[in-house]
Amino acid sequence: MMETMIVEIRAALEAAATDEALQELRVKYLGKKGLITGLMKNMRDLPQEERPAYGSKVNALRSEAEEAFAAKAEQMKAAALEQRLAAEKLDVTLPGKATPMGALHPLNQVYREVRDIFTGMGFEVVEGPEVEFDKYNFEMLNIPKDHPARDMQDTFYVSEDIVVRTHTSPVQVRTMLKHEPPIRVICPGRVYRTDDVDATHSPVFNQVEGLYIDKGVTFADLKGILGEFLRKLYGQSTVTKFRPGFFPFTEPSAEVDASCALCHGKGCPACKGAGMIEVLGCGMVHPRVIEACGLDPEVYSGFAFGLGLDRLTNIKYGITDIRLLYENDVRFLSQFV
Amino acid sequence: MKVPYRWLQDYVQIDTDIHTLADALVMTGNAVEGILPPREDCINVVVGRIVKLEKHPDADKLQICQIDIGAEEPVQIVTGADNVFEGALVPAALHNSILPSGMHIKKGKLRGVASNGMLCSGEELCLKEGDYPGAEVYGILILREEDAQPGQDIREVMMWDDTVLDFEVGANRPDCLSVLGVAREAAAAVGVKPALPAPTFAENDENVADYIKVTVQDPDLCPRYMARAIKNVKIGPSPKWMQQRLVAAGVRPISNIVDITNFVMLEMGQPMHAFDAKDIHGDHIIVRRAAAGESIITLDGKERALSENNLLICDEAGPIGIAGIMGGENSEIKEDTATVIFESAKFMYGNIRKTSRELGMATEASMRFSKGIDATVAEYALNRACQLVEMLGAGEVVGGYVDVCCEDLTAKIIRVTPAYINGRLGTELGVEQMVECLEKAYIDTTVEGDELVCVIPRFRTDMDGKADISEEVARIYGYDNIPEHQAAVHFMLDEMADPDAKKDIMRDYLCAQGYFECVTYSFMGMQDLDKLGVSDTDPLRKAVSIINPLGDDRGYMRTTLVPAMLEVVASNLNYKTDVLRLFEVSRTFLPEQLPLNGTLPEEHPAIILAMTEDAGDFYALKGDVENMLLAAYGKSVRFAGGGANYWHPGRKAVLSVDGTVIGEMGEVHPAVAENFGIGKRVTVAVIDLTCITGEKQVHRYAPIPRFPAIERDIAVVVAEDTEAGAMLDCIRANGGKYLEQAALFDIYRSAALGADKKSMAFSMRFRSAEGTLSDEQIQKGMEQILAALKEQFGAELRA
Repeated sequence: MMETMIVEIRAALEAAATDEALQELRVKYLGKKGLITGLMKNMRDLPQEERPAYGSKVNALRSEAEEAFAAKAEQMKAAALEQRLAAEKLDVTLPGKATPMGALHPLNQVYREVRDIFTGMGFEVVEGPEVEFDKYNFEMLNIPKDHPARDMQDTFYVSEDIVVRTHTSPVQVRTMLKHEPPIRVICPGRVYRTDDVDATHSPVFNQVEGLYIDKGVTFADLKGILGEFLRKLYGQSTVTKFRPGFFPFTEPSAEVDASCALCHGKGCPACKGAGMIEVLGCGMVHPRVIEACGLDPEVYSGFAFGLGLDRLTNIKYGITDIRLLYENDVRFLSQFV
Repeated sequence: MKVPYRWLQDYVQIDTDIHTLADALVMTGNAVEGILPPREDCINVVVGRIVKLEKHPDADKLQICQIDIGAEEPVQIVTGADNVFEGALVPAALHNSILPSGMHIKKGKLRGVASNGMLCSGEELCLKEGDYPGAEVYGILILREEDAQPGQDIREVMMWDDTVLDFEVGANRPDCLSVLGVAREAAAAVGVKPALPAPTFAENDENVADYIKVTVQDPDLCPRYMARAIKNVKIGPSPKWMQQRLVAAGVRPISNIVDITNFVMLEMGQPMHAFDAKDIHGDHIIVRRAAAGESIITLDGKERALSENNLLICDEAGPIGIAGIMGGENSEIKEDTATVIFESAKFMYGNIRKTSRELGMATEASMRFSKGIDATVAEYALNRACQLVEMLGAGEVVGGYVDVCCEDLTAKIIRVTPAYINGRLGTELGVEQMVECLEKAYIDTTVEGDELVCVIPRFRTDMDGKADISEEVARIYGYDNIPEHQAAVHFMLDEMADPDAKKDIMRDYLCAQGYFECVTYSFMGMQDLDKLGVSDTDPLRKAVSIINPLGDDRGYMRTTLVPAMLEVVASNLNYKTDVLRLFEVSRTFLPEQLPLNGTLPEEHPAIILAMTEDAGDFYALKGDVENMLLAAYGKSVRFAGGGANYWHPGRKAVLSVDGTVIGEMGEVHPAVAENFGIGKRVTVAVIDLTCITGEKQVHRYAPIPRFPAIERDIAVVVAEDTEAGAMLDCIRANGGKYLEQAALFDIYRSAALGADKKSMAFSMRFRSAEGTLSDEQIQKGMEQILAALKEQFGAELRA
């Protein structure tokens, strides 16, 4: 009987399909009043000498049955999990539920690139007023009243001696007046000129200027720092060209071209076929400016540079109309996510 | 500055091609803006002579012309014009030609007769009467026999055949506003010596003093005034070579005397003027400031009202010209002019610049004077003009000249050490190299001890210090040849706050939440504030005004970011972008006093957020404001009902941090929204970032609680207008020391509760750091909370 019982149990387990059926079988065989427990109780009826052998046989049967039950339970759990997983399949191509990303204004994306390169080279960011004294915006930068160079920057006036700044250079003046060299700063911000709005002009635009003043700073240092900056911005293979230029506050002055990042100098529509694009203006700070700011030009020298963020942004993204930057059309802004 | 290439070559031997020359000029600091080829808009148009004229067999108004274009066979062209005749010289646009008007001409048939091109009118060549006589006649342009011969390119006839170099001349180099100036630069760039004119001419034995007397009453504005007299003047056209140069430079030929003054101005950069001597009353030129109320009719026929700022050229009867800007109509050169007085002077740039702006008169002369011209050029130019008079046979030069001069005409000397130059440039140039560079730039340089002694040519008005010498060496040596040097980093020692840091945290948070950053102009107009409906005395109207704005809608520096943002919302809604989350970080300009009286306005960095109803409601925006400020400043914001009148009266809040008001938020008032053309609900928050002070606290670790928390929920019934914020404050104040957190989780309204009532459900979490709390320990806190809510808000525990 004991021999056939394990076969019977295995067959019953095989047939069981539900947790309930399994539980019923467990009660039937292994429960307190179950068949195997019953077999053990039968031992009392056996002679004393047969009991050990009988007991160990029943115990063996019980372990064998318990193993079979455990295996069945394991198998059913695995099957149930498999079934659940199969039922829970998702269409992973359905859209995610987060709010779609917004974006920084393209001007600010480019500003961050520029800033991060310069802060990596030890420059600090400083800001200054947009409504500014004439003396900081012009006079201390070697542009006296009625000087022809003022024509270069058509100015919004607020009063006789206060203007809306035409460049961020006055921040350089304020920095020199306040801090001892070494000075390494960039001055970002809005600047203003009386240009009517068209595809290439805006009365409000954005500059990042920089200033480096220390003992013994040379034109070669200027070329080194700005060359490095442009290679970091446009890629290591970027070729730079420094051309003589004119700014009243620097001497010597230079305009800097970089090889077009799109065509690498071969010429393309973005660079109007020239292969090179004018990207910034710079020069050795004029001794008169250094002196006006209370430093000794025989001891300190340095360079300043300025770049137009709007222009850089337009070049980078192939934007052909500066007005797009100030219209804030989400169909435009959402292209820069 | 447009410099005809042929004219440039009169003074410089150039062996390279024009592009190499242009590159060399650029690298020595002369910005070549462009190389303008001979009129590419006029191709394949030639001079033709009509040798035979017949009526078209099938059209009354058409004529068939046989045109001699210098080829073996005449060309047949059909024309509709009726002013043509056999023997006439006409412009003929041949097959595949392009006209300045933009027309492309191909051969074809007119009513069955072959026409191999088109005869051109003056209009089709874009000519005016002043460009060529007969240009505005209705019909075909008839060319003058002396100008043209069959087969000649029409560009030669019109003198359009010279390549022109276009320069952008820096404000520091007024000397390059002349062909000669550019010639000097070109010679330096390619390494040759220029051949500059050395004017010589014969003078008669009369004395200029018998013709003209000059008094300069305001030498501060006119440091030098020179004059010469020309008698027996024969007015007529100037020769073709001169006209050609003028036309190529963009100046229209008028008559020999006027052309000479224009030619000399373009050549030398010195504006000159020619007066008809018989119109100068008392033979006396007086240079003086205008009197108040004085006026003059200038050459262009317009009457100009003058002020005491304006410098005049007068005779004994009154003004005969505005100094440095334009001559008077009363003394201009006429066909019967017999004696001419040439003026060649230096007027101070600041004054000319001011007058030119005041009168709205920008002329070739004023443009040059306002950039500054050296006083020695006046003499050079005057002599050159006399030489040209002689060459052209235009008159007889009277002996002697008038020169009223109060300027020191000696050359400037700058001393500099080679070490200074190398120190500035980062180079290791030898003395000889430096001298060579400077000599190329026309700076006579000698070496005295360890110094270079540089004699600055007078025309270099821009040079006045050692730094200028270093620049001259650098540009001639070549910026390309200066090495790059990587400077060692010396950080600034001053501690500086990074102005971007907190703004960037807010920007990044908002972008991640779906906001787009905007950039709008910093201007506003009072009409923007009218649209917001703010009162006439509202502080927002205390704004810095711009003296010369681009329009009255941009007349002020803005005091609020709201109108610009509403404009952006409106325009995007117009484009059917309805889901809008926008922000801008910018400044407002808040003057302490107006007028400014020499003080600058305060500039407050501010942030504005806007959200349309399709993107979220008041609470959605509020949540973003809270998180944004928490992330950037580590601060919690308090919201209290209230705020400006441009918000919805029931949906507005004043925001404060640490007890200081930092801004407002609200749904835009429907009437204001309508003013901006917005048809949807828009919620806006504006925050003045200068109002949030104090550094973000450094995070300190707190032990993670070891004992479990106990949660308790209550629901109380209160009046409808009871604020949740106040109730939470009350709960927090009365919950006892174990209350860890309290939050609102449900609001319920029903008829059973009654109108104007609502049930507010709060959950509270209690915890102790010392051990597991018992019900008794919490009970006290709960009782206190309920009692306080009842006392302050009449709150009844909901059954």
